[in-house]
Amino acid sequence: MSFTSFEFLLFFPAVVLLYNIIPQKWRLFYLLAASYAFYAFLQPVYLILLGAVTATTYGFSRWMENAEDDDRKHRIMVWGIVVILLPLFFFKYFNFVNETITSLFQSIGIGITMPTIRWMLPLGISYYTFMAIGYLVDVYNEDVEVEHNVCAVGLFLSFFPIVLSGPIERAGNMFPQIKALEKSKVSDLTNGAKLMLWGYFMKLCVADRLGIYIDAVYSNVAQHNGNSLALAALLFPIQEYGDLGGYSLLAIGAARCLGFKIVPNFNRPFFSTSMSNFWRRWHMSLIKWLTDYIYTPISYALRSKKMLGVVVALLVTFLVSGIWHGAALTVICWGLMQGVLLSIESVFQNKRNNFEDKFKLKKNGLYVFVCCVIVYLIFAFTEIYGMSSSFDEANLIVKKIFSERGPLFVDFISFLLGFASLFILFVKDIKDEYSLGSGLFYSKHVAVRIISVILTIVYVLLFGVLNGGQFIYFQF
Amino acid sequence: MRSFFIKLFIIIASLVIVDFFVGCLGDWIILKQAEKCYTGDTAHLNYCLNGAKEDIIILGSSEAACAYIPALISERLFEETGKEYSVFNAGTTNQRISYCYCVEQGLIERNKPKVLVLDLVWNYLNPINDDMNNTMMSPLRPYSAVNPYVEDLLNKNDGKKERLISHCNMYRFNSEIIKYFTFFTKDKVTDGYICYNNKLPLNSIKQNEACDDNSIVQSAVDDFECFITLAEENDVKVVCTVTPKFRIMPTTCNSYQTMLKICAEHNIPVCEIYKDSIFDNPLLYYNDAHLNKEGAILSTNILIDTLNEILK
Repeated sequence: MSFTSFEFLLFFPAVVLLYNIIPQKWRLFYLLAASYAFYAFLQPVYLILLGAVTATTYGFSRWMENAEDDDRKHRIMVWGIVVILLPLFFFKYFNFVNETITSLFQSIGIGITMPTIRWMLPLGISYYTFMAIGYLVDVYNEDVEVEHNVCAVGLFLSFFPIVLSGPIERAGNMFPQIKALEKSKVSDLTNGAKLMLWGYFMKLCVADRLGIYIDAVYSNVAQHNGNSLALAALLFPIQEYGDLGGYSLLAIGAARCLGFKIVPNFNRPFFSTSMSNFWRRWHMSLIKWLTDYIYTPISYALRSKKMLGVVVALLVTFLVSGIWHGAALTVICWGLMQGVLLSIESVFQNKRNNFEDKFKLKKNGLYVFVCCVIVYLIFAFTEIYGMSSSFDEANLIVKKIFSERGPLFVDFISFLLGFASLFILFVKDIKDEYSLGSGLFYSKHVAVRIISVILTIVYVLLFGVLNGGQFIYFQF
Repeated sequence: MRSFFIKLFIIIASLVIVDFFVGCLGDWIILKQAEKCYTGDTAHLNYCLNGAKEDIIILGSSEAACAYIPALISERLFEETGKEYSVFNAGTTNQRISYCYCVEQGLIERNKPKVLVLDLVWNYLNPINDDMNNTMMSPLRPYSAVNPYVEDLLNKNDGKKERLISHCNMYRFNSEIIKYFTFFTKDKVTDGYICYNNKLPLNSIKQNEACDDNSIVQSAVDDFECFITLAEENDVKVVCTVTPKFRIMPTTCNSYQTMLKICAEHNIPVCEIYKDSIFDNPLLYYNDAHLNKEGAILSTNILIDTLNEILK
């Protein structure tokens, strides 16, 4: 079931209630069962895969524990990673690789067609695969102790708030909490519920509302002019922020209600003054994972090459990010674009710092605002490639944006409600970014807290898109 | 813990009160504005369900809404018969036969029309998925408390879960209540016709429209039968039309053939406008499913010929 489904509104309170009633010793099995039930509601057949990845992760971690020397331990880790990656490759990249090979053959006149499969992508596979790999590497690096309870490993990989779309959690943060499994405190329940409420607002009132306009335009690129496409392209990053940011808050809030503290995933990314700053605020759990397991080892290995090593590490890291995001050349290109932009920024970072220091620009409001706008525009532009199904489509959008003028396609209700919600979201983000007070949900006055919660619920119920689509990041 | 439950109680009680007031406000606006027809989809829907009283009513989905021009029908009928007929196009986007039956019941209760024109789409009797059903039913939910026929329609088409959630007024009016404020903008009165001026490119080629599922839904067949029977019982004449599309329609499919069979059984004339070769011209279409103004003038004139026969 999805977080926005009616079933979840019945399932979740029941899970929290029962979790707090049953004895502590049963909570691990109970949460594992609840997580598997949650997953089974969507794709029961792929529970087998989730179970297999859990068993593999557990088996290799225990095998590594018993390895006599470091070399053998390293080999076990590598084999473990390869085995864990196999289902991800099979379900997500098999068709892409084979179709690419087929088209390459055809382009040189060889009529060989590689086989393809027509199986649905298992939900959350990219997330739990990365979590499993992270655990194995952490065990190898002795950053975490090997977990001897297979159910704990099972819960770590299948914990229902995060199994479908992250945040990508780390063993070091999760296992101590899985071992403790204490009753939820009142503050956990209220704070978790407030996070979930804001998550619903971001998803249903911002992302899905703007999504109506964006889908209408992007689903028929040929019929829309450059102005409408430009507006859709500008709104798309906000839709993504509302979608994955909203999902992350729902996940973090749901976990908090059960007493878990999950890592944050977004930190007001549109207040970034540089691309590197942006990627420290956007999908933070993925970037942290990529930094720790890909960027840092490569840049360390190439440290003698100085800036060249950093550039290579950035390009490889974001290439992997692109591949992770989707099995399509456009998405891989999107990942490389991020790598190139960050590389350029790294090369000129010192000059930029000197320039900003010389003219005291870092605290100049106008300069900061212009930088934020530039970063946003760059990201929005790269997202045209990230969301397009082919280079032809992406190039057509870009060409139309810069050449084809015309009346703006207007969907009055989507605009009115979408921009009203966007305004509320940005007011809150500005307040959080510049620490302007505690916020209405966390006000000192109980009446303000209660009224703001009631108004938000009413707003979501009245103006949210309650029959909207799935979360965008489910496809990853 | 005690203070937590007190706050939770306050929040739930407040939500129940707000929900009650939202329901009252929404229902009041609907009833208050039922007699008026201003522009906009919601105002049009409201008028179809609660206000329409014209002599000739055109029912169907968006294909009908942009294919028949009421003003032209009134004008030509007056010229040719000497009688004045008021005409309204009640074609509504995304709706099907069950909606037409629902509107018909209200129409007959308010003021029996002389003729009902029912525009048929070949797949009207085919099954639809939950998402499509939700898209069709969502705009109707606000009317469930003020229109018993809509309530029946929703009870028949919505699942248990949907019916349960629909008790929440905020859900019932979700995304719709804001549209009602457009009622108060005294915009020009419309006759339900949606006018498109754009044209398909001259080099467009008709594509096949596939009939993936040849099964038909019995409830849709029943609604179609009920539609005709109700009209017959109330001495209201019915004409069925099939609007042209710039697609090759699978008219041999079960759904379409069943509708034709029912019409034949009840002696209902079916005006298969799509068969006219003049509609092979892409310049008569706004897109491959809808006629533009020029196409609408042609199809309306063909309909008027049939109406002339009936009204003699």
